[in-house]
Amino acid sequence: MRSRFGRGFVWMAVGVVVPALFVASCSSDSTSGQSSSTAAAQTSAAAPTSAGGSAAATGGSASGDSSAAPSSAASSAPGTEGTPKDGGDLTIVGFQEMTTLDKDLAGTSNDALRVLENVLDRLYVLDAGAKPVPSLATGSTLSSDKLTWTFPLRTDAKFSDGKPVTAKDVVFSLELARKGEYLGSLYDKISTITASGDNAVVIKTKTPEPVMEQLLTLETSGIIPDNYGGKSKDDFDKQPIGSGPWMFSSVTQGVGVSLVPNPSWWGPKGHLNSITFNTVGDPNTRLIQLRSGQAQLIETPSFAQLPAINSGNTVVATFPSTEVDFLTMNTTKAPWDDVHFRRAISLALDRASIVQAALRGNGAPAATWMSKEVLGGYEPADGTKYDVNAAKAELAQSKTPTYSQPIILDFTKSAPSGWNEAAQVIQANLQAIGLNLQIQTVDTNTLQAGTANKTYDLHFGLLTYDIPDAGELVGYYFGSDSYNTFLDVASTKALDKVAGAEFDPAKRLEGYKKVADQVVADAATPGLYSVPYFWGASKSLHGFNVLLTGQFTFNDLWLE
Amino acid sequence: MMRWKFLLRRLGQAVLTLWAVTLLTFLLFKALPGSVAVGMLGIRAGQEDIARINQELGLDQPVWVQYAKYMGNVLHGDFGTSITYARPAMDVILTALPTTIFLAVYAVLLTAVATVVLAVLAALRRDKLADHIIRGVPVIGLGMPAFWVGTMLLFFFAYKLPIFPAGGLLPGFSGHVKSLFLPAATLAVLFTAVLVRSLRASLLEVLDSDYVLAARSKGLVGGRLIVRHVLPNAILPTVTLLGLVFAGLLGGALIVESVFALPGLGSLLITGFQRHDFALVQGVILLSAAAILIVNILIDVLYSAIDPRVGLG
Repeated sequence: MRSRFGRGFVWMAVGVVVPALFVASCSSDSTSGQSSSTAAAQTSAAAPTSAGGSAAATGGSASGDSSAAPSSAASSAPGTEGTPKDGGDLTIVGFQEMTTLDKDLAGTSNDALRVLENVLDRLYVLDAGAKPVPSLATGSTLSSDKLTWTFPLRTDAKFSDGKPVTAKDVVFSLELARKGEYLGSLYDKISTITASGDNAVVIKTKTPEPVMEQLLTLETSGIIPDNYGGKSKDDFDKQPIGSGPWMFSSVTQGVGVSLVPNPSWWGPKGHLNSITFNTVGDPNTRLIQLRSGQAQLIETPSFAQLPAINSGNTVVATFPSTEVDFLTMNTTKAPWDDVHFRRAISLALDRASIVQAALRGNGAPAATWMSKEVLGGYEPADGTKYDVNAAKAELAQSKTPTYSQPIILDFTKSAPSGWNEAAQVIQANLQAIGLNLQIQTVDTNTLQAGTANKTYDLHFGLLTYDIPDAGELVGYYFGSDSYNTFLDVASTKALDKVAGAEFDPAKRLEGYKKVADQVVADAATPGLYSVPYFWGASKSLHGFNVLLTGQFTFNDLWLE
Repeated sequence: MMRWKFLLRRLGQAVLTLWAVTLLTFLLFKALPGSVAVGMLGIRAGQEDIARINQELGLDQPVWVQYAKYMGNVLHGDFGTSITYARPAMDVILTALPTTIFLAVYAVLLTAVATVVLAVLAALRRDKLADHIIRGVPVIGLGMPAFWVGTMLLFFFAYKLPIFPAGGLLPGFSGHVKSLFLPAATLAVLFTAVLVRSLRASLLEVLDSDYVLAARSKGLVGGRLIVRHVLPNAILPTVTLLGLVFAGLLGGALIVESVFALPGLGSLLITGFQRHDFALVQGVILLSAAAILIVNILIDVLYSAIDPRVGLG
């Protein structure tokens, strides 16, 4: 085209088409409404080992106490009705790579936990109400001195390679759990684990363990073949063998795992032909996979994506969780060593506004890291109180009533979604009582160093429960220098000693309520908010129900 | 014979360079703040855990002792155990390497084809409309971040027009070709933007040369002229740049890997830093350095093969 008219026409066409393409890409059905900074924050959000002081992704659901009904809104799950249909292949997309399938270290990845809980059967598992029920065990008996547990085993349980599950396998597996780097401390009360014949296991404890059955529901309590079935540990962990309802068909590093039904499973069969559990760190890509049908379930969409998911053939599924986000204060240095200063901070926090800013309202204020869900809905008095005058009064009683130095709150760019917004509200809240908060985003290593070297001021923290018992995270509290606050917690330990020894669920719960009161009174780990579980799901998926611990049973899932 | 001497000399230099890389990486990593224990256990890491894990991993030893021990193991083929993956670091890295190599080769091929086609078209249509568009559009490509380009390609070609998968890596050769097209295209958009202008300039210079004029006067036109006389003389700088692009991609294309959920070396490197996983970080850097050195040697050899006037030595 050599004429001037022709050339101009082409330029005009280009000038119309290019902007049109741009506008089309930003349509209301846009899956890319996520800013890159938030997407980056999501990339390793809530990583259990991320040094934002975040998750010990050791989740547990509500305690076995019947009064521990979830206090948050009932779950909204897609398609829990209808007659299950057999067949179909499900793809689930999580955001956290399953770096290892070692049943102890898998605790560092929520997705690895979910997979292993469906591959490795345990002596007990959690039912839909998050209560432990026998699975590989047929029940339990406890001696009168409460120090000896006897667990008879099912005689029809087999591993996926067809070999029967015996007491020897159980002893081997539970001994591994005791020695686990990540969760081994949970089994500290156990003194011996022995086989009683081929079909019973005896566990003796040094002191009474009221939550033995709950402990046996953990994935680290999963039963594997004795001596790794003759393989080396490294080879076994590449594709573990279990006696659960599902088995691995493939494991691809950095991509995910594929599961097929275990033909040797003793229980009711599932409905699906296969389940693929992939990892996609980028929230935009997860959303595109859901909307395009490449996946039917995606984990933790960002809050900005929720409206897009609640349209067309997809829906947002929410479930109550035990996740609580909170602050930690370094009490090894002034002014954090002063309880009045700490209480002033807690009283100055407008948690309702923080929930709005950080979660766009999709959560609730929280008093402590001891989730309301495991405390039967209990919240310590004044735990979420917002009172600027009371905060100023506490500050006036402290050793530093006019603290002018900057307070540093640091976290990483890959911190869980919402922390950046929460920090800004906290900054404004502290300014109202005359304190100068500076927000710093740092790299992971710097954050870790601040904790290890006790040099930080304020960090964020995030915790979830692994077992349905309030005591679990209290145990970690003591083992982690009070969640890196280095606070002297002798009084809390005394309360935990009483509560932790209680077998009666109601009394145990009352005991842990007192522990929660003490944690709030200490004010070194003020709660910010609790966050439900969010999943994006295809409307063709049914039977999806997430427990407080974050688990869900793959056998319940079915596709239209 | 000269080529063999050249190769041996360069390989010897490469070994020394690699040793320097291990030392520098080791010292820099040790200077980094951070804690393996906190990386592993997160908020549940107490001071006792930190001390215990440091002792188990030998991190409480003097730095020179740690380095000597590490190099001793390396010389026996042991590159350490990744604390993130709980298995030998080199095993983890070699598992991720094929994906990175495939993506790098794919991206370079797409870039090379796009660059040659567009640059030749632009050079032959100098100052015409095609030339203006070809020179102008890549400038837009340079301004677009990889994150955005990748997400837009996913949106259009995996969602609106579901031709390609929306991220992830399909198994097998054909699966790789299909699932890596969009990530490779993302990289190609960005690299072509840089390379097309460079090649166009080289082509114009060669097209104006006396020997091309002589060839034309003898009746040589069109594709034969371009392929036999113009491109071989113009492409050398672009080959060098392509080689550097390839070498750089062997270290992992982190943003593209993240957007498309690809299990490559870039993701491993970031995971290694976040978890303070020395064995993983050192292994990836060592492998990347080795790859870059080898690619540079190959570029020099290729140079001399394309242009016999270029000597080795």
